[in-house]
Amino acid sequence: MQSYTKGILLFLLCMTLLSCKKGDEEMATIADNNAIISYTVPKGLLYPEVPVDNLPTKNRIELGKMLFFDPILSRDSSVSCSSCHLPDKFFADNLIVSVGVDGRTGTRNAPSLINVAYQPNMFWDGGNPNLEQQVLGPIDNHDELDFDANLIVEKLKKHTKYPLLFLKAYNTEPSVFAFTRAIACYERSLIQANSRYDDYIQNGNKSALTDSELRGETLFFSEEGECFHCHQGALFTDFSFRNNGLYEQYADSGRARITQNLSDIGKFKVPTLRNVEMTAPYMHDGSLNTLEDVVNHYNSGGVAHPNKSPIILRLNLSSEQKTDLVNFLKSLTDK
Amino acid sequence: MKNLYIITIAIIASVAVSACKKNESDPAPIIPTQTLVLRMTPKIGADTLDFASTHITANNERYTLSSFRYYMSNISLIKNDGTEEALTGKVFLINPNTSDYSLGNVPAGTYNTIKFSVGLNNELNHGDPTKYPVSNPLAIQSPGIHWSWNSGYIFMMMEGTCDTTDTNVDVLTYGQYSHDLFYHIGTDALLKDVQVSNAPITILPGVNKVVQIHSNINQLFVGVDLKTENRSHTMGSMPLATKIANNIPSMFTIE
Repeated sequence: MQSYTKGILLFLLCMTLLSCKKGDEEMATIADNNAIISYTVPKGLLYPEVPVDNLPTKNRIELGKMLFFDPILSRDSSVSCSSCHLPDKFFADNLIVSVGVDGRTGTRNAPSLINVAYQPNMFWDGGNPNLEQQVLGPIDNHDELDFDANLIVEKLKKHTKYPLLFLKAYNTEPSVFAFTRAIACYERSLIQANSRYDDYIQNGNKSALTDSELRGETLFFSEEGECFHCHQGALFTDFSFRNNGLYEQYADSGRARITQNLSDIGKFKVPTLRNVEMTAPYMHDGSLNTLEDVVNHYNSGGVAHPNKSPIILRLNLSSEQKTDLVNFLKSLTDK
Repeated sequence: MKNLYIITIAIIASVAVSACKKNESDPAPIIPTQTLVLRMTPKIGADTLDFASTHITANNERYTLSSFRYYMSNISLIKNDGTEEALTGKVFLINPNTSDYSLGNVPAGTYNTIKFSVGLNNELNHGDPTKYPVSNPLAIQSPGIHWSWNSGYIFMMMEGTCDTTDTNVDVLTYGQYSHDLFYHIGTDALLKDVQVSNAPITILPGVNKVVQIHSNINQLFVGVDLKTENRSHTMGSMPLATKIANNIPSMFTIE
């Protein structure tokens, strides 16, 4: 039955193309757009790991992009992925916690999706293994899209455009497999590293950073500032789970919710610092409003917690040093 | 002396090889097989499960149900002599809309125990649910029975309402069943092995066999105070989830 439907759709696709004057050209375009392509990776970043069942093609990225911006994924067609991951806000939303269907709010701050291709696991607690399966997370969550993956498939099958796009991209009718892959394929393409800091470090443009930013950089990568122990490498994160001494009692147990280990209470994944200037507020719960607040938090050493990372200690930075650090962080904003 | 050893070993080896060959040429004994179907019947005490009535636990606590589903996997049959017939690859999502689950062809004989797991082994539990065809019980279900926030399946999902009021005190709310009741039991640690051996299963050649297995839902509430212990997503309430999961093996009896 499935292959029968597929056959009919293929037939319709052919008819559509034949009936078009430029049929041959369009067929050639579809074939071209089905060629496996490479994600564009800027200097300084490695090519990300891509699952073999979801290698990028233009058709797949295009379909994923369309789905990403389509509220068809939410129960009442009111919210899309892009409602909380806004392109003009570096694919975050500048809210403390995001707003889902019926105006419901969650408990965690929406992260930027720039360079999400490099995440070894998903969510603040790492509870989901990869971008493809992550797509199910917000659909299931009652405070986000609050819908049902199979019902989404039913809607996609009845849609005027999607069946053809799925056929082109994944050679199948709309399915949970294909729509989760398409969205992941698009999200993986959001690779970016063209900040002033990149200009400085990759192109050797010594005038790209101000004196204050350079002092901030030195402090960031020194034992005095300690930042680099967790925020390291080209993405400014080691992807570890750490308790940074935010609370004595955590309302959200973080990594412990996944592992059930008491020693993981209050641990959250170290976030990237790229574009951090533009993705306020900060911390897993959006509780710190500004970069100055964040620097002050780390300068204070945070509050006592048995799981607090031992490298988070009072720093005694001067106000000039704090300004330098904040300025350096602002040099990590992409153009 | 050394040569004698070699000759001896060579003789033993050739005898062993020829013995093997002889065994291989013997036709394997043909054991007749027959279709075996499990008829899974959820019960509450003596009553058949239904989603319209109100139910009472052994502690006289009142509840209703709207959902009761669980994964059954790792199924095997054990004979009196201890030999085990593993029915590999069979995974069922037991749900009230389906009563019969076919195990396919099983060698005829008398089995004194049926063994299975409620839940899924580590490999299945953490597989990608989007990769299964829609008809597979491990595919994404509606309503869902998979956690995407802590990737893994819900092994047993029970949902309904309960009456947490005290008969003599809360006159107004008594009998309202206004409190959610849900147990979503999962995680690798709570995979439960079940052995049911209260009656033998005899499979005769040429006769399709249906084995009826009761699951007594009230058994889940043993040692549970429904007034306070009525919600668990497993994570976040591990002690309650563990208590419920530990009650699973004693739910089952062969009719």
